[in-house]
Amino acid sequence: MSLIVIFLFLGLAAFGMPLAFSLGVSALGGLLLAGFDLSVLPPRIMNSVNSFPLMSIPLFMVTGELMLKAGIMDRLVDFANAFVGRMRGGLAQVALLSGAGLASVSGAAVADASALSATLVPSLKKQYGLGFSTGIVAAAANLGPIIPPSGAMIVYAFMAGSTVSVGGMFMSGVVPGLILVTVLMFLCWLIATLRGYPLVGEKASLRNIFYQLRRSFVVFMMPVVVIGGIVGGAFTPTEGAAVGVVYALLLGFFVTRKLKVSDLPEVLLQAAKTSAIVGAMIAYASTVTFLFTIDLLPMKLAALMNDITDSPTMFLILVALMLIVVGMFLESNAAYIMLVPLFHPIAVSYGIDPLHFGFLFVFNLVIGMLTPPVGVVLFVVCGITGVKMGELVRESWPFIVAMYVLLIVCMFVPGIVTWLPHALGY
Amino acid sequence: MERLLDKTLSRVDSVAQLVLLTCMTVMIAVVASQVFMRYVLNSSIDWADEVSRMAFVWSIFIAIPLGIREGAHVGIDILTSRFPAHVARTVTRIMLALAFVLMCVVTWESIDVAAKTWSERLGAIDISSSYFFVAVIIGSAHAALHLLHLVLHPLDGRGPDYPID
Repeated sequence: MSLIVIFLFLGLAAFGMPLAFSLGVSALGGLLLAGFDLSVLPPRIMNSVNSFPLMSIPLFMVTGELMLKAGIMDRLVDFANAFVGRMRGGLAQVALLSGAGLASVSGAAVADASALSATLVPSLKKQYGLGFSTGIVAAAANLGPIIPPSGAMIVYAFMAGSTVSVGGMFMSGVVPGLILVTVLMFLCWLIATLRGYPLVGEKASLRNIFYQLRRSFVVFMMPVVVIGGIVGGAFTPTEGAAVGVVYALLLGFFVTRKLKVSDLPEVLLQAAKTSAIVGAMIAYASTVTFLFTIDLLPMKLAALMNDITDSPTMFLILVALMLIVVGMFLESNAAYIMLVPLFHPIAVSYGIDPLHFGFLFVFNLVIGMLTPPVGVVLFVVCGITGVKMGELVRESWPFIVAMYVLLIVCMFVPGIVTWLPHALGY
Repeated sequence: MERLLDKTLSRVDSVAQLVLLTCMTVMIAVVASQVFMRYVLNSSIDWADEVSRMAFVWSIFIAIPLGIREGAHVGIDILTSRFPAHVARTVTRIMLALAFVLMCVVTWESIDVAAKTWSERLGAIDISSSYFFVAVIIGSAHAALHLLHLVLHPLDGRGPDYPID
């Protein structure tokens, strides 16, 4: 029966039915075939999203959007400029560094991509042309879900159940995120040097650095309070996200004074609608999961994996290869919702650290947001800047390759991922 | 018929937006107050968990139909975008019709479940626990209307453009 449901789902999805409904319709088909009473549907659909932890998704979205409306981009850009403006490819370095700063208050690559494209590409393209500028912005946007907070990690932790916590997942991304920023900046310097981009920024001065540090202090205090509070156990991720919303409101109304009351409805509605897309998939995937569980599919899949290989490393490699392909075609949230419940328990049974597996899973699909033909970050950047998809892909592949290399390094050196969360007691 | 559906939908959509705004505001206010109460006033709100979850569940199911209107629900169009226009249009209509059937089934079954469990009360606030299902009923019925509209009056990828305010 599971196979029929899977084929039904793939067929419907291939013919363009939105994934949430494809899941629901194929579950409906499975229930009818197996002769189940359809009254099992509503409790699963409702209870799967009736969850306090899941609430952190819209709340973190609201936080990120409010921080942007509060005008933090200006401060982040000035801050980054004071440090790296004078480097080769200075303005592009500024984009990468302010992308990293934005990632520490926002958890979504899509939101970051649209913010960075809209604010930075107009000045970037005057120096480097549209292709390289958008390539840089797309790479910087991908830092969003790797550096905490991270919507992707919240969804992962939720779908994986009790073996990983949101706080632990957040911490697993910190060290790889910082390494990634460094690698991207080096690549950017290399490309800028090879192509002879001129030095344009002002010389770094200690006075300016201190001034910009003071100005951006209010921005960087937000992750300190919110992420620090979550990791320190002062509040749950959902509460932390709500604290973030209040922080952003205070910042926008009283410190930067750029936030208007009339901005609020749009931000709230957008966050509600975006999280409902994830919520719809979670709700209808639960009906399919119900059928899978009756069919013992997770056990069968685990047995199958065990027949193929008994080496955890081989398993990691197989999952990584599968996710690279999945990441090219499927929106990442859909992939977490459908695949994490199947593969996370197997990883645990292989003795792989749940945080290590979780981070690799998320990182792989985050890179997938940059790989054609289906890459949301590419779509957003193209939509806002008007760059051609082919040109963007041509300019962003060095960054994609760098990310995959880092993924492989993280796979074989788990300490990069797990050291910090373990040190903090996760 | 089309005008009637258009008009009904734009009315329902604006009500849905108001409900959504209320849910989001309640959610943020309740969760933030809970933290404030715990650390500043050293007490807690015993209904905070139930009320915020209620607001969250409502926000999800009420927002799903608005996502349909904007064509925001993620799907895969690699295959269908290569079909000739009239084939793609027919395929899309069939898919939306199936989704419409799903929404009708979910609405119907939810009404049934809600009616049977209406006497169960929530712990901290004295209302029926079936109010969680009411969100599913309203949201799915609203979604079914939007899907029906798209099946009857497909608009070649542009999506419907009825006014909302």
